[in-house]
Amino acid sequence: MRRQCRVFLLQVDILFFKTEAKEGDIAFDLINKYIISILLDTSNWFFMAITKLSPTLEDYLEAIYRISSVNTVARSMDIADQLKVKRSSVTVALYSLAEKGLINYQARSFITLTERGMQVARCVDKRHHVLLDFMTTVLELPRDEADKAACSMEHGLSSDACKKMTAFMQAFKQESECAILLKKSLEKAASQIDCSKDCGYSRKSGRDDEEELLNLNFIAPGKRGVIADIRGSGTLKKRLLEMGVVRGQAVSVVRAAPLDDPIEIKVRNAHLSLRREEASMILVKNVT
Amino acid sequence: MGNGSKGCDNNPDLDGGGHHCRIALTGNPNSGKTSLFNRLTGANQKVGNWSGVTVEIKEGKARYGGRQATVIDLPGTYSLSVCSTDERVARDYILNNRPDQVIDVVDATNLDRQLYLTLQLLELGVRPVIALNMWDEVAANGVVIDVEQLSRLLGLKIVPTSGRNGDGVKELLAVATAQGASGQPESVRPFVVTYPAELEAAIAKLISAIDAAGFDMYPSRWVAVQLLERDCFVEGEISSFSGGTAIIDLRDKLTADLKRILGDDPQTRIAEERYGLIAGAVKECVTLPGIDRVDMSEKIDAVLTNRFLAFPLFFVFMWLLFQATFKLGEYPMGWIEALFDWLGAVVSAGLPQGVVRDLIVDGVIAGIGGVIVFLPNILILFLGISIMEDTGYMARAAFITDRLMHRIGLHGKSFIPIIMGLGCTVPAIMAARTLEAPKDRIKTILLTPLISCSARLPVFVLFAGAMFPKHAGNVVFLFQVVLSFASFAGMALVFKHTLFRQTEDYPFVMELPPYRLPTTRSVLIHLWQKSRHYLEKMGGVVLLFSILLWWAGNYPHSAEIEREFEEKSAQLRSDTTLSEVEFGAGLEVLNNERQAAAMRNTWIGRVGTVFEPLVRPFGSDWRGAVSLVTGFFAKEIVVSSMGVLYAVGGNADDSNETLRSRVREHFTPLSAFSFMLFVLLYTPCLVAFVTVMRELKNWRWSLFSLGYQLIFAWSVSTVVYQVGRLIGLG
Repeated sequence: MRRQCRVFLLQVDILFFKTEAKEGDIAFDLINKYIISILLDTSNWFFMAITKLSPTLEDYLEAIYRISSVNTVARSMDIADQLKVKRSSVTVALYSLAEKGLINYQARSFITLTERGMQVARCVDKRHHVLLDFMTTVLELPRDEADKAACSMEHGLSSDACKKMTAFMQAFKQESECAILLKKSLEKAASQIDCSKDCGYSRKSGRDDEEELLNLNFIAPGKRGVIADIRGSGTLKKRLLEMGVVRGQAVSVVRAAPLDDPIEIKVRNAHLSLRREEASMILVKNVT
Repeated sequence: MGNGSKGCDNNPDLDGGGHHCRIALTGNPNSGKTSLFNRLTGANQKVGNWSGVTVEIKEGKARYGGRQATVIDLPGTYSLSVCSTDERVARDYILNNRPDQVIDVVDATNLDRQLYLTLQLLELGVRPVIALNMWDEVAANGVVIDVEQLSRLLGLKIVPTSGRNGDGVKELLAVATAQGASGQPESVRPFVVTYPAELEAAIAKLISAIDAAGFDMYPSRWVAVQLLERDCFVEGEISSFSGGTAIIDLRDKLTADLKRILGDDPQTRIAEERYGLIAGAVKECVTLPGIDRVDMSEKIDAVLTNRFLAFPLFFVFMWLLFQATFKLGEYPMGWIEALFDWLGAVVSAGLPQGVVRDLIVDGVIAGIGGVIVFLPNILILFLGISIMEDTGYMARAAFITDRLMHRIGLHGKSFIPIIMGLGCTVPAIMAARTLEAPKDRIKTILLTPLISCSARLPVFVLFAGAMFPKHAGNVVFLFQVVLSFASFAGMALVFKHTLFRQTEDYPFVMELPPYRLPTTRSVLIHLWQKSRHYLEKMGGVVLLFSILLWWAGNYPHSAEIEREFEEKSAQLRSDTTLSEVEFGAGLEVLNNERQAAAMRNTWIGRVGTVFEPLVRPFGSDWRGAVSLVTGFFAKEIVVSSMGVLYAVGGNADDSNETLRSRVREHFTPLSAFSFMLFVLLYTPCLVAFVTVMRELKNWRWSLFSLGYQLIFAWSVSTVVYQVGRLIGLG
């Protein structure tokens, strides 16, 4: 039992703390990075290729799912309220979702989810809940903070990652002894991490697209933006800096490699290739 | 540097009393530095669009005004603050070897990034002359650069150049040697890189600490900035210096403070400040054309790296390369074969029978001929590779294959050693230097020998032609490409999950240079270098071994065997009951026996017999063992030693029979297949092994490299042979 415990804790340690904990990022950031790396799994690539739902659209779908689970039908007004966005943005998103066959929608009428839409929404919801569960039970974050974080992380969770995460939560709840030990070492690790300044994610509140920071990894080919931040440290950051990838620099995503990874970006008249994992360290604003 | 005391004209040459100027070329990868070097020196230098293609410091002589200057081509680097040994080479050369003048080669089409290195040179206290390279492209793009203004701003001399057509190269050399001789006039103040007040304060504190500790290997300000930038090597040097740990501690404290004040780590801020300064300078000097021009490279990339087309095209290119290599290569091969047959016949006719004739005809001519015949193949192969490199397609190939490479625990850049490995393992292993993380490099060096090199090609061609004449091309492709890649991938996976389980990945941030038409000149230089390399290797090693093998395959003579043969044939002759035909057949059997016995008695036969039990399990005999032993010295020799071995083993009447039919006599398709597998998988050659040792600089890894290949080769070919026999293929 103790041995199992140790192995379990060791894995957690490697996953969340070993590599980056010293560099001043918070655990949340690390977990996000971990999840993003899982996201890069082929299964997810396949999934993305089929549905091609942007994080924003997933949010809309999720909102519709939640509203309709209470009211059976959703109105665009309710959605705008829940997501704190303008009605006009909602309309655009709804057309897009309807086009993909995920919702039934006609102008000024009620919105219902199609069977396929229901499937996808459930999936997103499941991802949201497992993340929320993880952050409230394991990381012991306050519920509203965890909810917000789960909202931004859920888009990056592949089905495989979701499955593993669910399994993790189950295991965590079963192995209560381990859970206590883990929480203790988490507390200890957290106390050692300096988190007074710059807590990683700089996503601003509200959903005004102008201010939203996007992960370069999620930017579709052909789009451009301005580099807002480069996370992480060490060799990758150094390399990026000396190749001219600095804040305030215009960047455009040219294409993804045939196997979806790495991606090609254009910075300062030079084309660079970087792996998705590496691209996810670059945050971009003003994406058009 | 350039301060007069070490200037060119004050520094008499050791050997002639003449004056000798040392000029170092530095610049970003793909800035056209190497082609400029070619222009300056006229040396035969490789031009590649691949970052870090010149991993060694190369020298050449340039003439100016009746004098000679030594030009040094430093490896391309993006930055002088380094963490990889490759980048370090350039910086260390500038710091320690103190060239009289540094030329900073800057790609004028990408000024705002390339000047980053220039600023770092200035911070280091170097006053480079800037070669504004690819000037022709700038003009063609409609971009206007105010060279004088830029020169004034930076306080540096600038010469527009074009490595492509040689424009400005003379002026560059004149300016560089003049400045190297006299130093830069004091009136021209070089640009000083200054940082925001907070950073400057920290730098000042570090400088005083460094000065107090007496660390004076490099300029203190530069060391201070490097420390804040977390340069691995400077940090290491400081820590090993007495009082160095205190400086590192101070750095850590200052970094933490700066992080609080700036909200950012100093490393980022320093880089941003530099780019800010560059952006300012570029804004003042560069006028972009009003209209956005369509980038040709982007158009090409849209096809070549297209989601659906990339891999089919990639395989088409590979297939074309091989078809060209074999189909086109057939014609000159025929001529070469005829030439050597004719040469052998002429020499045989002109010389008296005896040891000398045998040595020349069977040792020298047959040995060289057996290898030179494959030169056309190799030339075409290298032509293809060099075109891929020069156009920039090589980088795209790495781009599209990185995901696969990453899967098997390698880096996209490992692709270069693989492709080079198709030519020759030796340069391929050297190309592994482009990999920055030591573990990636070790892995690639260990695995590259599995990629079938062109020297193994003759063996496959011989066997495929002999045993599978109808499918020869396909069988060769199977071994040279399919099986060699499969074994590479398989072994890579094994390594990934065993030896290198816990290694981190190195960033795959790689430049995709614009497509450029290769100049005939650079392709030819490249090709000439490669074939010269092959011929040199062949000329030396192969000739030596051909002669050695001929000797070892003929000596010592045994009088006993001759006597026995004489006795037995006399016995046969005295037997009057035999008919004429029976007598002839009997004599032939006796003669074969004699040949075989004589062969076993030679040095080579003795060595081969020792190894025979080891090759039996995969269906080879002692001849196979002997050629494999010789193949360890160089794969080129496997074919020529087989030629020698089978020619000696044959009757005099068989002298006009080709080697292929000999192979057919001694191998079954299955044992030939197993033999080819062994050749594919075991150590490429002695030179390659020496290169592995030199590159790994670790005898444990080197021995491991040797050992795993031998064991792997033996196991695979044995299993294939035995299983093949079980299912009735033997």
